[in-house]
Amino acid sequence: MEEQISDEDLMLLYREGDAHAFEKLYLRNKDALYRFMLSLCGNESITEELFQDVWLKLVNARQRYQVTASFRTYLFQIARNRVIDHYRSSTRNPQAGAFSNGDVIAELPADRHSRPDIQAETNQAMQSLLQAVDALPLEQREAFLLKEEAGLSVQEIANLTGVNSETAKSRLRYAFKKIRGEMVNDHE
Amino acid sequence: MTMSDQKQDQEFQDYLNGNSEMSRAYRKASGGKTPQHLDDYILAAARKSVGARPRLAYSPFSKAWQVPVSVAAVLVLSVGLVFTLQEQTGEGKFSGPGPESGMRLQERIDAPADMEFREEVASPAVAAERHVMASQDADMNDMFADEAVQEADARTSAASAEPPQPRAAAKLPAEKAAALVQDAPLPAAEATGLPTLRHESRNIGAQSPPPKATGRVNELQGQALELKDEIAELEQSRKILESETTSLEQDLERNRQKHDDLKKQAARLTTIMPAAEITGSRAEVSWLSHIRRVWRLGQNELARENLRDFKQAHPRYPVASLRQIFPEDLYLEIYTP
Repeated sequence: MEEQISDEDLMLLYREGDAHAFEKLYLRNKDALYRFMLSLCGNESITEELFQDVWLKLVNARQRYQVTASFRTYLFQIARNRVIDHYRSSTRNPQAGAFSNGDVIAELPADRHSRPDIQAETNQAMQSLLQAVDALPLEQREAFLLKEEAGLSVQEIANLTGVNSETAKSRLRYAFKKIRGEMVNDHE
Repeated sequence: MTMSDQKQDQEFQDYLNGNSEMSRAYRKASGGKTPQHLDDYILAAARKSVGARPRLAYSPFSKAWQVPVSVAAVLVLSVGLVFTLQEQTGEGKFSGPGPESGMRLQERIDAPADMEFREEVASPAVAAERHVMASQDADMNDMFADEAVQEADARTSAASAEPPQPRAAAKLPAEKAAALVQDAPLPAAEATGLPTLRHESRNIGAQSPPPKATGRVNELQGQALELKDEIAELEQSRKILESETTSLEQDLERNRQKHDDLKKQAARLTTIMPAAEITGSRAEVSWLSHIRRVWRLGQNELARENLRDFKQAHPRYPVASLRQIFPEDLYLEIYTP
């Protein structure tokens, strides 16, 4: 069986001008990143705009790319920063909260699961799970999404969000507890 | 710690290890995908950024075969084209004459009479001499006209039940041509009559083909135009191939020159170290040329040391060969027993 080329190698290939490598990289990561951003933003049109910005930033910065961390960490870091920048400069949402590391960000509405197409696809239990995720406090939600969508480890989540690993783990634990509680309630 | 806490801890550990029911359920539930237009836009931007074109698989193999394959393709297309043209010409013989072919035929019939008429008008004295020839031409024109009329009849009767009108019309120019020659001294009358007659006969020729035949002619004309375009394209391809062939030939010439230069270099080296080349192995030759380089740099002592080492390593190396490489004072001291 052919060994799969890593994201980092694909990005390095793209840095050298291989557009096909980027295509592969994009197809591999786009949906997870999109869901992560959609969950943070809660608004599809804003998500699309920011999502596009993230990838274009990556495209424009390709010459400077160095493998310092996993590509996913790098990508989700750019995405997170872009979301924070957006809400920092935005005055549209008055309910501005704050990340523990001082980043200002909106307490975001999570309306992604009210979409009829998604509703039709998912059954009640799944709806409850997604609603439970959206109901999480932002920091816990973010930690949960970085774990589930980006597949990052506790340490990587800690590095990306600028907290120590214990805090990151604690956020994950709370998120896990709450979602699990919702799932159990739903079963009963 | 209670049993419940322990169980929760265990579940949480499983979750961290990516081994939990929750993760599986979440992955199943979260099905958001990026919109297609975003994908297209981002991928296009990425390609543009690196200036990527759709990849042309330019392997050395394909480059080597590019010219022969293109030439073969051009040949196949040309042969196909010739066959198609021949086929269509053959069809033209048996299908009805269109307005164009009708007109061409009339021109063939009219042209001699017209020329003679003009000459006779200019010089009536020639008229008498031309008279006999004109009569013969008229007979021939009659024959041409008859043939054309027969063809037209055949097709007209197939297309409609109308009587073959064009026969009488097509005969007119021949009779008229003879009459015109006889009446040559009356240029004014003929000058007005001939064009009218030609005009009439052309009109008749143009009107004669039935609608079906006209459609066929139009179709053929369309095909002819397409073929013309194809020929133009082929011609262009041929020119491109020619220029590529020229550049390949130039490359070949350059490579030949390089090859010759290398050959000359090799020959020069052989003259410098002929014995070593002949007698020594690659390692010996390489070592000796190193010693020679050292000696040339004026490092005689170092060269001697090297030569001593060489002698130890290759005691059977023929001394006679060294004579052609080094001066005697360098090697004799070492090789003299």
